[in-house]
Amino acid sequence: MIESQNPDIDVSLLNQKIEEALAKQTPVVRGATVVAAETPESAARLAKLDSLEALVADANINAQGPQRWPQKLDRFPFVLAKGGGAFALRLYRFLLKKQTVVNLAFVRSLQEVIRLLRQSTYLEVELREAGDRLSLELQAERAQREQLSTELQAERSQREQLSTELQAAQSQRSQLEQRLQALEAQVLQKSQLRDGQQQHYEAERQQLALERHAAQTRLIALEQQVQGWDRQFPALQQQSQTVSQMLLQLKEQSLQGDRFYKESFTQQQRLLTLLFEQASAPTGEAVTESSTSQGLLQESQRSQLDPFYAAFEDHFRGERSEIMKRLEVYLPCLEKQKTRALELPAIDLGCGRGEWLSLLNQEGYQSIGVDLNQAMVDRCRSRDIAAHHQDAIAYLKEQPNASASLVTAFHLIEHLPLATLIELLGETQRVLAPGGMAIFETPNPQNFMVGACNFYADPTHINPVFPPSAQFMMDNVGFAHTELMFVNPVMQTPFDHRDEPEWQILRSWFYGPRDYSVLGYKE
Amino acid sequence: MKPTAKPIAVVTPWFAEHLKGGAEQQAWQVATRLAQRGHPVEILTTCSGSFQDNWAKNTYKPGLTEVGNLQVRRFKVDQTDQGRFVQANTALLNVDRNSFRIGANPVAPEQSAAFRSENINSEKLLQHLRKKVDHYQAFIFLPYLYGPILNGLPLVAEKAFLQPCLHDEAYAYMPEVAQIIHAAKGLLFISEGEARLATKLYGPGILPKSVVAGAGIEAGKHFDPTLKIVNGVDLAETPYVLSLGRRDTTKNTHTLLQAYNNFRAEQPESKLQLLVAGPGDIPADWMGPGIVDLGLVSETEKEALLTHCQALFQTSKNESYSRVIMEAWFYNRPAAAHQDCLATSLAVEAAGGGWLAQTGEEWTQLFYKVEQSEPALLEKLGQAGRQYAQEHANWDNIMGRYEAALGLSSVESPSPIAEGRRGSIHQLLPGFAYGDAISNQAIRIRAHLQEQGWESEIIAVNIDPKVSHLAQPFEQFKLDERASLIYHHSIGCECTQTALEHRGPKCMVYHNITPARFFESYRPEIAALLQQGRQELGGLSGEFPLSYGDSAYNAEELEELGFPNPKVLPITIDPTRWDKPADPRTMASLQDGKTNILFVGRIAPNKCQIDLVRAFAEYQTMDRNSRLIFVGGMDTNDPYYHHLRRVIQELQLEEEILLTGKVSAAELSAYYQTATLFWSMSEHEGFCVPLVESMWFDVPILAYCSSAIPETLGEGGLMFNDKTDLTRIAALATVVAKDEALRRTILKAQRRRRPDFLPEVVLAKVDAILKQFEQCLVS
Repeated sequence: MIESQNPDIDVSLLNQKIEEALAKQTPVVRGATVVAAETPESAARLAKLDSLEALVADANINAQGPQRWPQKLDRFPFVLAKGGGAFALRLYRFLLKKQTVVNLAFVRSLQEVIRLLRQSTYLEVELREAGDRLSLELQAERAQREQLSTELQAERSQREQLSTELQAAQSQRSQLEQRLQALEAQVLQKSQLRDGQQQHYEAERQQLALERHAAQTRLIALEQQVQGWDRQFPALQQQSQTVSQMLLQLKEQSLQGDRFYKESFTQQQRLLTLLFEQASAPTGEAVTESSTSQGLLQESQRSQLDPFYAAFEDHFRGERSEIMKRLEVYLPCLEKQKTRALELPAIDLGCGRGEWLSLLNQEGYQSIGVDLNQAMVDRCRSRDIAAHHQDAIAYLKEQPNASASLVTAFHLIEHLPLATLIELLGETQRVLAPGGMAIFETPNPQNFMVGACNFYADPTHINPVFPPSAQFMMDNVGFAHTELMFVNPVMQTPFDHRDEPEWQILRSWFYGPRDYSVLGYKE
Repeated sequence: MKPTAKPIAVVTPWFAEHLKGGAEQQAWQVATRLAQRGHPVEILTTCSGSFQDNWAKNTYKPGLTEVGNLQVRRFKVDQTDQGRFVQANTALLNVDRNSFRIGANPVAPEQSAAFRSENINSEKLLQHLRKKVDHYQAFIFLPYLYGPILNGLPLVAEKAFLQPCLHDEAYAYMPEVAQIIHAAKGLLFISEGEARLATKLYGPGILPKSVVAGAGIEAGKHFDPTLKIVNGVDLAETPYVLSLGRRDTTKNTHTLLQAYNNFRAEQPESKLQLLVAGPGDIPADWMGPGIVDLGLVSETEKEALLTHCQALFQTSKNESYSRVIMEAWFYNRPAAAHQDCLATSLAVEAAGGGWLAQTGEEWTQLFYKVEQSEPALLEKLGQAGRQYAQEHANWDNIMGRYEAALGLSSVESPSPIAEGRRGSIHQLLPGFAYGDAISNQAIRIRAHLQEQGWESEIIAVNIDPKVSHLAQPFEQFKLDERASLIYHHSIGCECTQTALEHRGPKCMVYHNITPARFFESYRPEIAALLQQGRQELGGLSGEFPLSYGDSAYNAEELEELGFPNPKVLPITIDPTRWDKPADPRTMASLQDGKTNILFVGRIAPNKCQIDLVRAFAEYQTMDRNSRLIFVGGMDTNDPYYHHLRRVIQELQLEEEILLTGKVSAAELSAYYQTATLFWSMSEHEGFCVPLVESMWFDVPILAYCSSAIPETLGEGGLMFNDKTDLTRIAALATVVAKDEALRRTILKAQRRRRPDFLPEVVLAKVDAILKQFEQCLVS
């Protein structure tokens, strides 16, 4: 359909777009028809009338007659004077005047006729149109009427249906009423029953309420009692605590007393035995210090104090286990010196309750204790600790040179006068094997509390030993190398959180190490 | 150059080298360069300093000064009623763009008059123009908006050339502006786009006197080859698309950025970046990854950016000149322009130096294209652009065009030959009427003959009183035996015999006899006449050795009837006839948004207006908002006319169809200017002048393929060869009316075809006839 002479136009694309445009067609709604539509016959007739009209118009023009002399006749032999031409014209017109009038009349009437014909054609078309319209309307009416009657039928049958349904509904309703009455009677019965039951429950409830009330009162009373007991309880607790403390103390005291009496008794027994032995034995036995009465007296005098001293130690020294713990501090020194490797015995002078010896035994050392206090020696022996009842220096003198790996004396030297002390130190040095060591522990007078006060708790103490002096003495007796060790500090002091030097000085004066030991190493 | 050559005047409201405005710069460039080429140039301007100053204040001193090689003559400004001016100006600026109507004043007449009278003005300048018009060779007025131009141009219209610097704004629609456009002797445009806009606003009548001179650019002045890094971006390493110019919604920057963001979203791995430079801020939510906002850049940076870019994208729809595109082309880089912006898209299309895009989707596609194209292809496009730019934006070429337009070239115009020296050639017509194609042709030919020195008259049997002064009545004219005769023949009449018997040199121009069958059902008597005419035609074949037809179609008929070697003399259509404002009432009433379908031609059965009415009824189902306009003589006694009226009534299209009857040239111009589509169902045309007229007014043509129509259309228009399916034809009409791409293609071909009927072309053929006559006379 498309005919394009332009090479740039894509005809297939154009056809596509035509299809798209056609798809978008929407019919145009226009107002009601104003002019009757043409039928083919009327169109033909009107066209005919148009051409007739044109002919008549032509005729009209021609009917006017010539207005001027025709050009054709301007040639010879028709050339006349100008006036002649006009005259000829006027003559012509005069002659044909009537005809002209007739012609014009014909033309006018024809025009009128054409006009009327045209009008009638239009009317005809309109009438036909109207007729068509009316018959269409009539048909539409008929169709509508039929439709209405069918609808009416439908309505009627529906109504009958509804009335039968209504009857059914009514019978149903009466049935339901009967059932309702029956139900009501039942309900009445049930409610009466319920009332009776309710009364019963009411009585029970009241009783229960009374019981509850009673229970509550009792409960309150009980509570108050308990509270009273509660109040008394701490006081009772306190009392029982006090009582148990007292009991402990009593127990302690009785134990101590027990021991004291036991040891005293043993001592007395011994003395008596000795006495009896002496008394019964012939004279001439070796005169020993202990066999002379002087010695005996001295001995008895001295040994009289032994149980006392034992009890005293118990009271003031402290628990055995505690002492052992404190003495553990020296074990590393022994390890360092490899004392055990010497495989020589360790001697503890003034072994007392045998704490150090127990410790050594635990660590695997071969050890022996020496104490002048029989009670102490007995105690050690009762613990399976080897102990001699002998004077320390005497014991040492009995030992060969370099026969011991370790010699110790805890809280001994403060009991000795200076000469004795030096002798002790000398003997110690002789007895020790090369590589051995000696430890002498004693209270530290640099702690004023110790030096000025606590030292004197033990009446057998003579005087504190000034640490540098002790060291000097050790050096003096021939130890190759000596050192001082300060032990047993006070754990909690009022000066703990004071960093200032003044407070630290005070701390060292009053709460510094309470004991020290001087260690000597033999080469 | 003769030393005493008259100066060329450049009339402009402000003039100084430092002025930054587009028009001021153009004035400076043109004046300076004309002077450089040796022409004496005088600037006629006011004492006002610049556009920003108070227009009633005189900054400069009046009088003549010399600035470089220019003479600058300043005149004092008048004290105008600035309040009224501001009112009028504000009214113009507030007119809604969508309510612009071609040929209709956008504001009240008093306001547009006030705009002209209270504008910057200098009575002294106007007096100078009046008095000294003869001292100057030519006047160049620019730009179109201001007092000295609006008031001054009409005073020297016959020597005036207007460089309007036109934009699609309310001012351009004022009748005062249309007046100077039509009055000027010549129009100078800086771009094809501006010329297209002017044609749209003022009609094709201005085309013969318009010249697209162009505006030059000076690229490479600030080029620094060492500059490779701008704002941290290494130009040589990164491939990027460049956009230069103000960044805001009026320049369509958001469309560009959105298109790039879409491209980036689909191709996150792409290396192609988008660099945007120019004044204005970019809102943060327009930005995205890969977009670099360079802000304002220096001239050197701008040139570096242009050199290394892959392509330049110009998305703005509001440009009157494609400066940045030209600059890009100077660096052999291709450019992309927006389809809807005439100035830029025409240039890109004409140069073949880039791409066009319209929708956001198309712009996104362009990013793909730039990324995927071979560098060689981009280079080739850029080179094509460079060629175009060198031709169009090169100042030397531009000034050459100015010189040609102003008539400064050294080509001597031939001195007019004294009339009557060569003899007489007359034209004989059966009927001579106002607006008739054949009559117009005869008038044109006569003017040409008289120019060539011939004595020439038009002799006619039936003369329309309106044009009785142009023709001589046949009965009274004495035809000299030795005179040459051009006989225009259609139906036989009294003059045919005279022509037959004429002894002098003669030729017959055959304008086609309508086949009788068309009139049989309507006017049998006319049918009979037509039949008779055809029969008689055969009898003329022996008497006219020289014969011409309006078209090859006509010539073929002659040949079939035995005429020896008939040739073709087309009818000439000269657009200068429309170099006047179109009828404002018609313009106002037809620009209401409806699709205007036009057919120009006498109401006659062979033109099948009734078929067109039936097809239009189908058309209305697809495009309800439309009207059909029949422009052409009608006889109320004509049966065909009655039939047509009845059919219109039947189809109830009385509201939508307009029968105008015969119209004046201004009204005809208005109908063409407002037409959306020219639709012909005619089954017989000897030439069909309205087709060519439609081509000049850029109205696409849809025609039934018959008789001489395909020949006249050439590659223009679109034809169909089957009339049975009116709905399909109507659908095709909607496509031609609405589809932008198809319209463009059709109009492009039409623009190529229409110059084939310009007087120069046709009259050259007339000259051939004259030669033949001369030979006959000699022999």
